[in-house]
Order: sequence, then structure tokens, then C-alpha cells
Amino acid sequence: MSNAIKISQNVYYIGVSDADIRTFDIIMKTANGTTYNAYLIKTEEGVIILDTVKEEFQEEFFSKVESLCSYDDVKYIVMHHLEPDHSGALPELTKRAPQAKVFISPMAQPMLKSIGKRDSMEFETVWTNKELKLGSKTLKFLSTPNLHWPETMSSYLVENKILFSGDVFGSHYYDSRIFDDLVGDFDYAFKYYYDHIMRPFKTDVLNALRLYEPLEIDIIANLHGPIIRHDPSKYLNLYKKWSSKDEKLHGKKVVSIFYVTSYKNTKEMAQSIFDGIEANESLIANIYDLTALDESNMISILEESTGIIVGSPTINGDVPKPVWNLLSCMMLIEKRGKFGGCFGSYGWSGEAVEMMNSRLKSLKFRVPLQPMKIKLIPTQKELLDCYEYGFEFGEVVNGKMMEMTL
Amino acid sequence: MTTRVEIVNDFLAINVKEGSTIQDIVEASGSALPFGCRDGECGTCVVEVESGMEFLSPKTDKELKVMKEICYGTCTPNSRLSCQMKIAKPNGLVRLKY
Repeated sequence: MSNAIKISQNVYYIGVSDADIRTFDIIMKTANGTTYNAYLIKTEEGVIILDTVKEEFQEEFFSKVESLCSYDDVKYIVMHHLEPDHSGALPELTKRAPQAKVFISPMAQPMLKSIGKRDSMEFETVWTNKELKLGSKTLKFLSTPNLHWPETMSSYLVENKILFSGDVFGSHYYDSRIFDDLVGDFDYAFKYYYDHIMRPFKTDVLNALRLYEPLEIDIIANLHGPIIRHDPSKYLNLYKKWSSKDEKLHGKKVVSIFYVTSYKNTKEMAQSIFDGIEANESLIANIYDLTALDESNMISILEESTGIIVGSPTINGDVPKPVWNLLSCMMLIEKRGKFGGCFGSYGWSGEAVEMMNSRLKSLKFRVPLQPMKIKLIPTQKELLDCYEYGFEFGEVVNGKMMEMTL
Repeated sequence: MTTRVEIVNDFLAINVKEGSTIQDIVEASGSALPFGCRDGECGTCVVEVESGMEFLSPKTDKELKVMKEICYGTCTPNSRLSCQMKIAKPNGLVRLKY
């Protein structure tokens, strides 16, 4: 068990380490473990605690709090993020310091009762430009939703120039030296964390950066991994670079067709749809056989594509696994502004196409056309229909207004 | 006697009757405009009304609260919550961007 660590004048690290964890949130590998960072600010008029830790580590967290103050001193608790790895000790903390008011974002309000395991808890909702003054310290709140839950927020300690960024700028990377300049190279973990947690919300990252950029930041006090005090601007710039979107490649929007095929029927459909898209000179069409595409390439292609069309036959009343691999890795990209479509040849009932279409709609792709389903071997007329489908899909991706009356 | 609703991100133009809710229009048209709580609390469905505010129902108290709090600094006087709006008048053009 380590001690609380001073990170700035009257500001302390009271987080804990989870050195042995090897998988986080189901989807992330954590070869170096992780940390659950939390902080404590001392003022002449009392103490502010910023975030807590995962419940199973709470005794270490409380011993660090007790080494710095008594629970009676705690005036406020700021919860930047209510995920259990940061709110696990909140129920016990509010028992030990019942007088402390909890600050959360407005969107955290419906979660607080469940997370806090209490029927009532004194709290106040805060957002950009609201501030908390206690003693000689001023904490300004910043609304940074979706990074990485809808309720996440950040705050800025004016006098110490510390950005409490929540999950933003985090890494799943444990090192007992805790500061970035002492840890050395954790770049892979920083990028890996961004790719899994922040990349699906690039627009929200850019909105958050607009709030951060006017601030003079000496320290980024994040919720996971090394605290950043050496050249914080490097990390802001990396987030900006990774989140900046270029909607066009070689000056054109990209439409990508992914398919699998058993007897070349779905492949023939894919080729005709490709030809239809290619008829529009302001688009780039690409076509990929999913049985020979790695997931990392799938993600790169999905990211650069404005239009995504997926084709599959139906096997055993289902979509075959290589297509599910594509559909499942869509959780790692931002869907905003992307168009989706589906097609496939089938022999009997043809459920696969509807399943894929439903998945794209659920992920909030804009799905402008009815999916293309063809029984077994496509005729020349049916291939012409596929061509027309591709052409129409391309037109919509390129900005053609679709008219309808309800 | 319809009003034309254009959701510009989705390249959709939908002619709808007075009284139609924007939520119903979005769902029926296949627009990808996202909703969260659908009850005027979370701000997920915020849109900019590029034109035609006069053809929409007035802002609700819930909308005003979300604009003041969650959307502070990012919303404009033309920001609205899609889950709270209805088409209030016929023969209009409403352009929405999200």
C-alpha cells in the first residue's frame, strides 16, 4: 500500500493501482495493469475529493484520505465519471462524510441513486462555466459528455493550472512512478486507450478540446495511468490529430462494399453494386472479401468510408462469422454522418440481410434504401437492379435529397 | 396542407402534417438523428433549426433547462430538442441540422 502523493500545492493523488488486471471493460487488454486515479484538494475552508476508486480497492483509498484529513473536513466530492471503477468507493465515502455535497453533471443525475446505493444523497448538478470556490481554490467545471459515458465531465483548478480530465487523456498503464516524465514510454497504451474509448466519439473529443485549449494547463490529472505534467500540450495535440476528420480521400467520398460469398452469387451482386457506385465520378468505390480482411484493416476502412455496404448469403438462417466480425468492430468507430446498406443472395428464407440491416440501423447509420435480396443465382435483370441500387446509394452519399411524404 | 421538414445531414425532405412530432418524423424517415432519454432531459437529440422556427411548437420548460445547463456554451438561440418539438403550422419549410 502506497501513500498519498503530492502533485501540486495542496493537491494530492489518492488513487490506487490494479497492477494485475489483464482485461478491462471486456474489450481492452491491459498488459501493464491500470490505475484508478483520484485526487484531494486541501483548502483553508475544507477539502474537496475528486473521484473515488473501484470498490475492492477502497480501503487503500480511505487510508490515503485519512492520512491527509478527517472526514469532517470533506466539504465536496466531485464525480467526473460514475463508472464503477471511479465511483466504487462513493457509497462508503458519503457514509463517512455525510455532510459532503456531491457534484455531478446533469446527465449523471439519473444514475446517481443506483451507483451511490442510497435513496438520497446531497448533490448539485454542474456544467461549463459553473465554478466551485472553497478557500483560495477555484474549480471550474467543463461539460465533456460521452468521454466516455454520456455523463462524463472535466474540471480545471485555476490556481494550480490542473485539468482534471476524467477519462480523457487516460491510459491503462500502471507504473509505481505515476508521473509521465518518470514512467517513460507509455505511448502505445495512450493510443490504445484512445482507440477503444474515445475514437467512437471524435466529435465530442473535438468539442472537449475547444474547452481545454484556452486553458493554461501545467498538469493533466486523468483517471487512468500516468499523470501528465511534462508537456501536456503534446497529448492535447495527439487527441486533436486523431479526432480530426477528413470526409474525403483524394478529394472524393469513399463507399466501401464488404461481402462474403459461397457460390459467387453475392459476389456478383457486390460487383454490380460497385459498378453502380463507380458511375458517379465524384465517389471512390472499394470492394472487399471479408474472409481475407484483418480487423485492424476493417476499422481503418470503415473510418475512411462515408458509405458502407455489407453483403452476405444466409447460412443456417444466420449471418456467417466473418460478417459479424465486421459488424461488431463498428463499436470502435464514430457512426455519425455515415450511410449504410445491405445485400445478399439467399436460398431459402434469407434472414441474413435483415439482420445486417437491423444492426446498421441500431448503430445509427443512415440507411437510405431497402436492402437488396436475390434468390440464389442473380439474373441479368437482377444484376441491373443491383447496379441501380449502387448508383442510387452513391447519389444519396453524395448529397441527393430524398423526398417522402408521411 | 403539409410542412416540409428537411434533415440536412441525412439529405432527407419529408412532407408532414401539422401536429407531427419530430421524433415520429425521424423514426419514420430513417434519419440517423440520435435520441437519448426521449423526455427532454439529456440533450442528446439537440438540433439547430436553420430555418422555419415559426412552424415549430414553442420551446418547452425542459428544453430551456437543457439549453441553459447541459448545452451551455454549445447551443445557440436556434437550438432545439427534437424530442420536444411538433410541427405547429402547415405550408412551411423547416430545416434541421444535427
